[in-house]
Amino acid sequence: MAMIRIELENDRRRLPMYLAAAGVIAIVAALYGIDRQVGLLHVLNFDAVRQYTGSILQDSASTVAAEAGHGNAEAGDRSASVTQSADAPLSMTVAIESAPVSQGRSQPRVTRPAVAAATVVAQSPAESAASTPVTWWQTAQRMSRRLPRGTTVTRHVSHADGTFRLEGTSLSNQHDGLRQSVGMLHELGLQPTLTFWRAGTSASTPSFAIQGFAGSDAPRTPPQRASMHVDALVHLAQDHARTAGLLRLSTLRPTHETWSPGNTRVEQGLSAVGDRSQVAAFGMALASESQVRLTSFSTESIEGGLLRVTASIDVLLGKEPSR
Amino acid sequence: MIGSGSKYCTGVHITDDAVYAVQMSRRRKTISLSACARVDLPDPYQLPERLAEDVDRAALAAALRQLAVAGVECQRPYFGLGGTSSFVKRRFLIPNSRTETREQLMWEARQSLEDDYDDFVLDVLQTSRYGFVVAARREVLELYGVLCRQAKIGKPGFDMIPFALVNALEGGGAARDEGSDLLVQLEAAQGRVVLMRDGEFEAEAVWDWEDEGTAVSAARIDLLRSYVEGLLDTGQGTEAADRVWLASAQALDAGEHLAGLGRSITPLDPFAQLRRRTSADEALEAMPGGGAALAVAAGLAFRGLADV
Repeated sequence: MAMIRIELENDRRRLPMYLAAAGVIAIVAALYGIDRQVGLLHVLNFDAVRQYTGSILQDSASTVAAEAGHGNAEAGDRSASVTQSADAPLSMTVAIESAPVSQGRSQPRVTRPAVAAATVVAQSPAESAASTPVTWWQTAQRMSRRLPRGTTVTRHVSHADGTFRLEGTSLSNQHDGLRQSVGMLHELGLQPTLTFWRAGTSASTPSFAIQGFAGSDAPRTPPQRASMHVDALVHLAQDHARTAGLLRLSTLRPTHETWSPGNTRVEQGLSAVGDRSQVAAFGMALASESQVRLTSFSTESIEGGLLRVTASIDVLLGKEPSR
Repeated sequence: MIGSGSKYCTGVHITDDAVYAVQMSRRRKTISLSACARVDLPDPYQLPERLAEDVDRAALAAALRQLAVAGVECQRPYFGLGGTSSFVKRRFLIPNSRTETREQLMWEARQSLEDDYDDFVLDVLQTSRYGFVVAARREVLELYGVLCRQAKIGKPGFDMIPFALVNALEGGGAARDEGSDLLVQLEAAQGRVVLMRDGEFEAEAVWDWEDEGTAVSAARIDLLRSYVEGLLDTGQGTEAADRVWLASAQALDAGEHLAGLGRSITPLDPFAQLRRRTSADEALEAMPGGGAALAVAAGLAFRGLADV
């Protein structure tokens, strides 16, 4: 046995001095050369600049459209492919693909071809072999950030089919802001519905619930296994929960459902308690797990700023598991 | 010390209520215990959060300065990381390629951390069964640097607390290449269990106690047992560890309640095979919990000596 020797040096990564110096020299030399040959004013093509600026605006609008269509609600979604007009002097294609976290490896790539078509295409999850199955979960987790400040989210449920529900409390004077936020979700195509109610006495803070559909790139069918020990699902979820540092783990009774002749879908739920970062780590681990599919993920605020998380995972078995 | 030809390193373990320090020296291949001390903290201290508070950090710096009064010098301090400042994530290995495994794990970490990637310092640990991504927040490491400047001690080095425990077992000469070892380290506010299999780090469980106080209560024992059983669960039932090591003063108190979880339950003495200065020996004798209470600090010192 050998001593464990990891290195945790706190040296910030910096551009090596010689590379930085080389970059500055290259820029100066290029400008000097251009200016000597044609003059800087001749290089600046204002039409091109205008078209380029316009294309940026167009890209932004298209990103919103892509979000609405496919539920990839975050700007800059990595499975978007953006191309521009063949006439545009500054043509550019950006294709950044992200592979599943725990499967294979692909690096982001940026290419700049000379000619490109005047369309903006966002690949649907089904079309993109490299789309990550965790995007739906990440998108769902960011949903509450779209709500106005002062809104308290007490419960957040998201399903792999793309539906979500946010519950919380909001003072009456913040309801306009909440309506505006929901209006923005509506514009993004998330089909939100907003409900207000006041529980108990009239003095209590009004509650609200928002339901909607954010789209999903999660697998439509669970991962298939020839056979699996009945406790394996539980252990897998428990391992992730413990790794994330969650406490008060409790497992729910697994459900068995005939999926197709000879195939049984087994779904297992697990509940635990932790802080926000622990819950996020747990959710990310389950969402990126290749052995099972995360089907639902809900968080509920409890005492001490902690969250109770309840997650369900499922798997498709070729034969009935041993009980 | 200067010109003696010896290399020195000091492991500093900050718990909820005290600072434990172990200074070791190495001359050629001989490692000696030079000094050890415990300095109580005036208030319960939660790391790393309170490092960011000027007043709290000043109190901690004062405690570190007191180490010198107790005979512990900190020219090369090594601190243990745990809590929200860091994480160890168990992943897999790519067969027969340590380089590819490292690249894969670092790539995964980049994907997982996304925008937070630059906020962490990362490294990879590979055993024969698993790959582990080890991450620590830069901000916290920088705060330790500020703390050391305030305390007027040397530039800090770092290791993860679970790895320090493994290194304490190794440095104490108690590690075995076969069977399972369980290291139990309990503090006032937190518990930790580290599982080693065939002499290699395999898993760690860390939790906060659900009740206040410092006594080993029945509720705490239940929680501890549940985490130990979770680590020892093979999927076909809970196996007993071959050896359970008690690595803190509170763990010594809990030891009698761990019957059935290990074939042997023993206090961890990281200094069992070391030469000791007389003054260090006396400090160790007076230390509540003895060598076990200094297990993490000793592991950090062993780690630091491996670098010089």
